Amino acid sequence: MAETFRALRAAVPASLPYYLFSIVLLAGFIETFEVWQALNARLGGAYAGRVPLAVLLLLLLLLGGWGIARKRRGETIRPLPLGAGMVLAVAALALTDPAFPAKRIHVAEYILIALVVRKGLGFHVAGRALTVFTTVVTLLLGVHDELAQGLHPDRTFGLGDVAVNGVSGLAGSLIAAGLRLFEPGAPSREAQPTAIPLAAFFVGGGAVLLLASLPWFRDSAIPWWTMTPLLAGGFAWFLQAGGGHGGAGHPLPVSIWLALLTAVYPVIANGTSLVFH
Amino acid sequence: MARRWFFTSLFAALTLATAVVALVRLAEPAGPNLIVLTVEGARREAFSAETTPNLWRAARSGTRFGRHRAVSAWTGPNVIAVLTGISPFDQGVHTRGNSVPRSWRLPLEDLADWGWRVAGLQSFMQMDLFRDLGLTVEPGADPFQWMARRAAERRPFVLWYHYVGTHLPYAPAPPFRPALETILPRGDAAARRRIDAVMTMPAIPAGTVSFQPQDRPAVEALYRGGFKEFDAWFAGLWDFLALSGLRDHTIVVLTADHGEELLERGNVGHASTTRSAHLYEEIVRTPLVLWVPRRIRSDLPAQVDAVSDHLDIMPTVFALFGRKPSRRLPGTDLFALPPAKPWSAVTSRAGFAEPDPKNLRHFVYARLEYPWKLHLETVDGKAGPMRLFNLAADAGETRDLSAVRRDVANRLGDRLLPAILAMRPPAVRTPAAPLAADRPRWVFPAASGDYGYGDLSGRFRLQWTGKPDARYIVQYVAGEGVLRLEGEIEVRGTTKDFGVIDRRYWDTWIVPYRRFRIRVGVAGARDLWSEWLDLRAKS
Repeated sequence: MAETFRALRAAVPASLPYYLFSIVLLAGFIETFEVWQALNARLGGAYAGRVPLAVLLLLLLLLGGWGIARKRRGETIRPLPLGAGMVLAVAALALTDPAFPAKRIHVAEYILIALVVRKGLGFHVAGRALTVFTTVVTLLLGVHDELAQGLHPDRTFGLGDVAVNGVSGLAGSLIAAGLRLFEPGAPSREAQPTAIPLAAFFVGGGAVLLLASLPWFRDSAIPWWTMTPLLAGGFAWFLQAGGGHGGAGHPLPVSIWLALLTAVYPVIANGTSLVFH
Repeated sequence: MARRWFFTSLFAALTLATAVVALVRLAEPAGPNLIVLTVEGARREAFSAETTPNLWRAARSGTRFGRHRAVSAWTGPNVIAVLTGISPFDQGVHTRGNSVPRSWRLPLEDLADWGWRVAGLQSFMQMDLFRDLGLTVEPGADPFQWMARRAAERRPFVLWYHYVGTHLPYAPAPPFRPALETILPRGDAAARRRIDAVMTMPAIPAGTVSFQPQDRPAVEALYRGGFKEFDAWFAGLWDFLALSGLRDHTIVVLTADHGEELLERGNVGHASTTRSAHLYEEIVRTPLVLWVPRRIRSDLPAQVDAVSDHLDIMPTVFALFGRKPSRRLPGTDLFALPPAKPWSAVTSRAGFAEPDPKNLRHFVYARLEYPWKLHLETVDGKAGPMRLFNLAADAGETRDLSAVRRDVANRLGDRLLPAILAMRPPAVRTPAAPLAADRPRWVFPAASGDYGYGDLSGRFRLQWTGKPDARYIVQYVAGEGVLRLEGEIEVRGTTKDFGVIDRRYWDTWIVPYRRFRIRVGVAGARDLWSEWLDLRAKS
């Protein structure tokens, strides 16, 4: 039994549990609206609106405290990205829709998700690439969050919320980089990315076009052409990079697949009775 | 290698498929759109070159119907008549909580089946009154953005929008508000109080305010102020339709649900607000303007003066679409009206605000065979005296000629009687036998208390514990004193979402009622009720 377990463990990439955990966090966060409603009923709108701020403050204090503790232990931290991350966290708050104070919780949520994603990616890349791809993957998870909410009967998709999620993910990524989190020296780490294939940008562009077109088709059938650029990007990716790393390391195909999977939501909206809000 | 070529081929095929579908859709001609714009309480004189100059100018490119009438005295049955072509005698809708039979196949459902997206965008459209009309309600959507999206996706649509800003209270925004100090008698505090009631109350039941004849100029000025404000909004809509290109592909129907009394009989409002309905001309004469793109019909007249009514609108739409509805509609194509068409109308005494929706006792009827107009009322099934007016000689309906022209009164009465006898009573929806269920408990709101607009996060919903497939009844008592209104709403599932409510709607129509008591119970079960919640609305 122990041998079987060890064999299984060896077969599963070390990063996979962290990727799965970040998806679980995502799903869990979608359901926090009921918590908000209960808070609203108990505390009233004005006080309930302060709870997300308090959660974010607590998180930043914990992370800041962690940084101070590391410094005291003689470990180095990078104050510039740490400070920039803290500032971006506040900036992300300013981006949230003031009519819906519950959405402020996205900032803390996505800082947390960025930490988990960085832990998973840290098995494969390091340095600046780790920070960049943590941001990209967290942003793409944020996109999936909003797209899933678009299909949820009680939620809506919002491009503004995607922006909040992205900025928060960047904040979390920079804070983690500043604190040097999850950066053990790893001689077995894969080569640092050397080049990003052009096709990856086509995929990214296709995803952006799909997202930008969605608000026009709220509550209606989403035209199939909105997916054409993204699918064409996928074709180009597999033609050029062959589905491998393309010289850009493990995180790139992870990002590519996350981007390509955004096409699933319009298919679900068109093919089922679910309406995209 | 195999995996690479599998995914490459897959994505190539998907790309090609979506591109082909897009091209095919692009080549398809889109059907004409339809916008039905109903303006709350717009009597015939509400639209004029002086009060609504933008609308008046726009109407030159359409067809005006100078003798159009509503078919009831309050919003529900009139709007249903506009959207379905079915008479209020046949609808079974006489007060709140009523709706047309679910089994009926209606014109809007035909259009939806044929590919039109049929929608209403306002939260109140989720009321029972407008259920089962074939309308998909998308509460809170901005009409301009909604139409822009439809234009982009090239799918024909039908949109019903009801402009509500002209309802009581008459409180136009400051740029449109009249200078009352120049209209009201100086130092007359009582007059000021009466006018304040008109500016603050969503309903003024008959007898609660002792209006005087000298109040009329101020009341009319406030009423017109609301329509000046509407005209400014309409100008935006008209420009939008032109700029978006929708005007070339959209039939626009502009009318009112009903007219409005401005002290002709001593009251201000209509059936649901005075709770003393009548069917005099100030209530039933409504404007109607139709704009039809030239590519559909280029031979339409600028003015039609034959008698028409709300039942004629949907047959006209279908004729313009070149389609036939699956249900036979009694109305006539507005562009093929006979020279002398009779007209009939019916209303319950208090419209939406009937004190006991399950026990409607008092109905008001009217029939017009121009120039003769007959009024009749029944209480508990017994007919009261008839009143007969000659509209050609007495447009104000002040001289009752029923005694001197008994022959005419009897003739019109004989023709009205079959419709009265055959009138569909309100549909009694028998709830299904209750599922084994517990007493529901409130989730949101969780407790009694004060609730402001900000506390709702822009969305008004009720939620309780229970089964998602069970039926529940929400009982409500809104307001107190003269504004008291009570009723029931049937809901499937454990949530009643009224959608997004804008700030003005909240301040105008919710806050004045102040107090709302609500409880929810299992439909069909007598003793499975939640506690009463006592909610107070504040700005």
